[in-house]
Amino acid sequence: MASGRMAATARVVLAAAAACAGLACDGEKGGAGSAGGRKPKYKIGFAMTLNHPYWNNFYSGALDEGKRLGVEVMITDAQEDAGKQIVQIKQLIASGIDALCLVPMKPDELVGGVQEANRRKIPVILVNRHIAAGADCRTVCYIGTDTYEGAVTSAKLLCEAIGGKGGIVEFHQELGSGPERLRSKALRDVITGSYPEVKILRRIAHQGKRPVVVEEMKALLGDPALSAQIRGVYAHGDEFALAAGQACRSRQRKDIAIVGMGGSKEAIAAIKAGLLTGTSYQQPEQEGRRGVRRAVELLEGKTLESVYLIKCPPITKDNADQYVGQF
Amino acid sequence: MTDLTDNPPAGERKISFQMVQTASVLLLTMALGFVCGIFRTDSFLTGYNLVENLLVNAALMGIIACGMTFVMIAGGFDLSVASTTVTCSIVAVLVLQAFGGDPAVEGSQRAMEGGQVAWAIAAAVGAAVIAGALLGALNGTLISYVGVNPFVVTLSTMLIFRGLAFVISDRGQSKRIPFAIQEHFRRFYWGEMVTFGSGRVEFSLLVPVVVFAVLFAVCFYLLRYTRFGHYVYAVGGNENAAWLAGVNTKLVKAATYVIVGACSALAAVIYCAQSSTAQADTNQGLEFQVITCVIVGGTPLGGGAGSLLRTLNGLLLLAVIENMCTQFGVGEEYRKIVRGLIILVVVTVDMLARKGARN
Repeated sequence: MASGRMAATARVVLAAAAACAGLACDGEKGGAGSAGGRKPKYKIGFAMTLNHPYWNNFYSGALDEGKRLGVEVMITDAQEDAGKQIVQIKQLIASGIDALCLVPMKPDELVGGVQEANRRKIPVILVNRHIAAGADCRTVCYIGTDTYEGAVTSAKLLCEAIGGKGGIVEFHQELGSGPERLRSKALRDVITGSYPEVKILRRIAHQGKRPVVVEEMKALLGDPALSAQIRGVYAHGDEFALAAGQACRSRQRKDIAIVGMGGSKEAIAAIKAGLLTGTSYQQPEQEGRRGVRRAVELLEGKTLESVYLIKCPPITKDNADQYVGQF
Repeated sequence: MTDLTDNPPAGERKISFQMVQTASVLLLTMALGFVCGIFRTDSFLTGYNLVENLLVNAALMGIIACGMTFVMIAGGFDLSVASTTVTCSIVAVLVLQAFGGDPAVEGSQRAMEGGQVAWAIAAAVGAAVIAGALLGALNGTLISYVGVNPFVVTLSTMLIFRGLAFVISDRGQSKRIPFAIQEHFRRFYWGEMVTFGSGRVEFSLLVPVVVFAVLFAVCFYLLRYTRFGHYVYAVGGNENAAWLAGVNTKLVKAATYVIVGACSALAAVIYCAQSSTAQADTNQGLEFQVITCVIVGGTPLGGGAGSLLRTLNGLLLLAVIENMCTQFGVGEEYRKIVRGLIILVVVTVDMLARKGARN
């Protein structure tokens, strides 16, 4: 009995210690940044994801801009889970934010989350991804990379590199996510509009994992009939273009043109080395930074435009020296 | 049964222990709430935060935790609850699409009248609960009647059910509720039963909290006041002794998995309503959060002891810690550490206490 009572007490003490230890771990990387020491002017919620280096760069930009402007930025990581992001939006609202910058994990699913912010009179700024068109909810503006135009740039680079005809393989993101829809649409629009002789042989989900792309690409190249038809690879993301490039190199297929999108440091180096054909340049750090900046401008009473696009220029071997990747 | 059992009603000594344990977890919850209340008064002590945010999040997890408490008291373990939840949510949306059409397919949606919408929703909820119970029955049969270890069975079915969810949703496509039904169905998560107060204390009692309260009451009655409930404790305490006393131990054990399956399905309906969609890759790691609630509350691994009140305690403690993390801006990476530490500490202390008791 005594040991039982001791166990109960010890359980509570240690659970409290564990909780406090976790809370004590809170630091800059912990998700909230503010002007050191001073009471922040505003509290801005940033509901996003952190499952890729792209987002880490995005995160740094948002936090740094928050510090620069003297506002507190609270960042949440939904890990691409729409339901989880809705819960996080409610948590951010409950913690008293003045404005919400939102990277919606899914365009349709997050409508409820935006409606909740509307109900609590919290202005919502969309960053990087869109909410479903025509949805019954209000957002102030969209800030972000022009994902569609960036993907069109990459698709054109690929189609030109293979001479406007031949089979290609598409490694796409999670089906149904905003970028996946736009990037897949961009490829189809470019093929239909200008390169009708280009044929998509296979569409494969990369699941956000390089090994998946390496295995799938090796399997495709291992099929003699299919391998002979492959002239190019269109990858949603530089990481996956690089993985496809490694698989092609292992099979001595230097003739296959490969394009990615993002403009990471690794991809730019690979373009210079001839492993990749090209990519489109994105600036996640700027997206995070501008999201916070526009939110502060809004709270200070400025009128915002409805769309702020960040262009994605092409990077090829000819101009790769001019670019430094952001992530 | 061990002396940790607080059901059936015990003598003074046991009640006193139960009071110490229950009160201590409650005290910790209140202490953390107090800290949060002092440092984050404006945002923590609001009706919206405490009821619409904290309580709703706790309720969603609590619906599954109710079922998990049965399984764990009976000495079992279920790692497949998150996969069961996503599979059932897809089943529910597919049934709704059978009535109202698929929004992803142009021109397939049909206009629906009030009565048809009600039937569609009833069919979807019914189908989800039946699917959940069947998946639970599969776990229960393999564990009880075939005799495979619960960890191995539910680890396997966690993967199988997740894979099944991908298969029935066309390789993980997001399945949307038909527009004609969406506005009605979303009330399972967003629906306000009644609104109280005004200004900072204003809050609405949302449907998930009410569903959890009703389910909790039913499960509490089942576990505490029915013969089945007593059998669950008996099976978890000493299966052989229970069998010798004439309890159909295999059936009782299997039934606990059916209960957790049905509870997961009920949670699935609310998750669907949250985003008006169902998708195969959501709720990753939910099983560990649910198990954490039950263990932290005081239901030990190994069974024979525990109660739903303890689960409620654990649930509230974890909900307050999660809320605290948000209030203080603690990132997801550190929350994972907090959750992991809590499980590790609690299970270790339990194990050491049992060892001490034996010696």
